[in-house]
Amino acid sequence: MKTKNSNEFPPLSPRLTGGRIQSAREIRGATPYAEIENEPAPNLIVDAPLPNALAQGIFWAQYRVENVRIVPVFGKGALNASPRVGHLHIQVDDVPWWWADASDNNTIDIAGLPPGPHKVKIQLVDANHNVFPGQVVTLPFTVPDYDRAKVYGHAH
Amino acid sequence: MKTENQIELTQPVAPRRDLAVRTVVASFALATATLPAIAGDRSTPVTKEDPDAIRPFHVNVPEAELVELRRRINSTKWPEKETVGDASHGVQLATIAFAQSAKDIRGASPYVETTNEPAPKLIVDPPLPDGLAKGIFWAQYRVENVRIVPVFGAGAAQTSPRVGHLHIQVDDVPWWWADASDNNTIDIAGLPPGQHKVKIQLVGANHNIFPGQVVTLRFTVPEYDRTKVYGHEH
Repeated sequence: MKTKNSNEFPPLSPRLTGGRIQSAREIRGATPYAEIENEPAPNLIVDAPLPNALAQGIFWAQYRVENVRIVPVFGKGALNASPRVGHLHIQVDDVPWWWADASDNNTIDIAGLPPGPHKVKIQLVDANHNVFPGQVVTLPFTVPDYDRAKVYGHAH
Repeated sequence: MKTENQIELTQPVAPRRDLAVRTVVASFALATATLPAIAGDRSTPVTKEDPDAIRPFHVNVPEAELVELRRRINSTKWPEKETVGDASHGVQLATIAFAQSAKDIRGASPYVETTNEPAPKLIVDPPLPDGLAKGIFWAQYRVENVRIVPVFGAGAAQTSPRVGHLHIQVDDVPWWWADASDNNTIDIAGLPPGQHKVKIQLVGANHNIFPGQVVTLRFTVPEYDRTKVYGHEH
């Protein structure tokens, strides 16, 4: 057991389909209990918004990250946490403000979008809210016409 | 002893613990003084050889008194925590509050279904002024009688204990977002100087508002140097 760190994967179980079952580590990343030297750069992946939801003015986009753990841990003191921690900033259309999402909740959910063109900008940021270089995904999309009162009732 | 509870403060202990034990006894003496219905049993013989020896002390408390005491403690309306770090607003709450159980603070166990769960409740604190000065809305929130979890849809709407999440809407934009993080504090940044409002709704798994559980916070962001706070990216 000389496993020094990070990049050595444990033996993998065979998979019924002839491939192999991917390990927990491959899917979920390194253990948070062991510090990592030279952790690779963080990476943000966002899927296209789900079309069924767009038809009701709802933006549902799944995301995942690599080489960073999304956790509600903030501030300068957390910048040196290893493995790296961070979260998302999400900004819609041309409003000048954005919100922080540290939930790692699989899917961004924005509802009530009126018909027409929109864009959602998703940034992967460090604990101190600085964007990891290049880790910005902007999704432009169009919401088709729909009956707002039917979808949302009159409360909105 | 069918209806009475006996509490025995006893055990001869090392002399240096004398003071602590005496304090407990004294507190009990005070309790009996303020609750006349509690009768102290003072029949324990005093040893003449060593009048300072620690000796058993018994009180017999009728169960009905304990039930009534619990009822009164539970129905006490505790004040909000004072906003200062000293006693300038009076006795500090933390020094007088009873130790609250995990259930008191965190709510019912999710493993046990609840019948007649009380109505859900959303509490949102005012935004923190330090954040507003930089165009940042930080407002702490908490809920009662609902667990905020990322569980959605009609199938989850009947879950017991109840589950739900927040919908958050800013200013006059027609859209909102879902926040199922239970992350203590809502964080919205980059707000330009001027008047704003943030509407927070507590909704069920199927995104319907729990009746009345909407908090709208109106606030003003003072002038600030946007470039200095956010750099040139924003």
